[in-house]
Amino acid sequence: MSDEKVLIIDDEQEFTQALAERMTTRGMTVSTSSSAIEGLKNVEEHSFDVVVLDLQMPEMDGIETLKVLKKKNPELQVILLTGHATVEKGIEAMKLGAMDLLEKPADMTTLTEKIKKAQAQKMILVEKKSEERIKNIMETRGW
Amino acid sequence: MKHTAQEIIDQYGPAYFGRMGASISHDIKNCLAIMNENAGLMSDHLMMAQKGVPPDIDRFSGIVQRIEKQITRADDIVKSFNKFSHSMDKPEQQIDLDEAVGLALNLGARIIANKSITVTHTRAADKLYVNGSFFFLLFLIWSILEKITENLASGTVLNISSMEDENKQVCLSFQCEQPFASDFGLQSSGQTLDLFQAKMVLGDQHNRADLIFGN
Repeated sequence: MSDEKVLIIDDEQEFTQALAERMTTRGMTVSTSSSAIEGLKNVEEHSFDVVVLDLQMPEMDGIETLKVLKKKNPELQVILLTGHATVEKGIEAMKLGAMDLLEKPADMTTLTEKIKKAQAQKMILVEKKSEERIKNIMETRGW
Repeated sequence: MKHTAQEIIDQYGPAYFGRMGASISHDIKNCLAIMNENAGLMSDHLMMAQKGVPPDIDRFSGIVQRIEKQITRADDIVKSFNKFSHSMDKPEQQIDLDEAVGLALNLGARIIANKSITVTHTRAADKLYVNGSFFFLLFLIWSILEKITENLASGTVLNISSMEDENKQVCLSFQCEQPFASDFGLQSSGQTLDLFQAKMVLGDQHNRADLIFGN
């Protein structure tokens, strides 16, 4: 399986830098964005398997960002990371398509496992989409 | 209708305390998360050193500095929260107005940042004092700030400055370039104004509001 391509979106830059370095050491390809706007731009310009997203950020919060991300890239897997996870927020995030919600400070082993699981989930969704596309082409063109 | 301090505490105190507590705990969690990742980085480097990779002293030093910075940040946050927790100790005291503004802003820093608004604080040349409950003064400043910033656009700069007006009355002025909400009939701050015999005066352009203390 290829390296996991991960984007971390969090306004705490010292957090994203240290987390990115640790994830890179574990074989992942990691990019960081310090705001939701910057993160959304990054997702438009590059391909990622997983987005690790902070729930509370200035300008646009994690829930709003999640909505936009899932609308534009339904296959993209999003793991929310938050300083204070409330049950309501967790349920809302899951309903909007987040894969998981972790509380800060997060355990690296748990986060790595979730990222690997998320990447596998994305690959299944992409493959399924490709199969459907091929099936559709074959049906419409009568091959 | 005049309200007693106890009635106002019962009605609004827990909500204000809870809101500040949630904001502060979130900030402390952020500090812990940064410390956690940097401690993890150190652990990763140690593991590599055990496997024979020469340790990079400069990187180690950088990690230690980042952890120390977060300890200082968390300590400041906890100090503010401790002051806030003790603000209800005395029903009345002489309060340094600028100290109260500074504390109210520190406590709500995350909430203000999430609104993408910058709040600056200009202190008076000499210390200005207000008599009353420290907790209520913090609550009053925060209520006005929340009301004013309710409809402000992202990127707006709001300045809070303390001064003595022409009538020698202590005054706290909230000022920004764009007009803010014109309605200061906010029930909670209205009741708290009475406790300080204070009043709010809104400027003609609706971009300045003065909190003038009676005594």
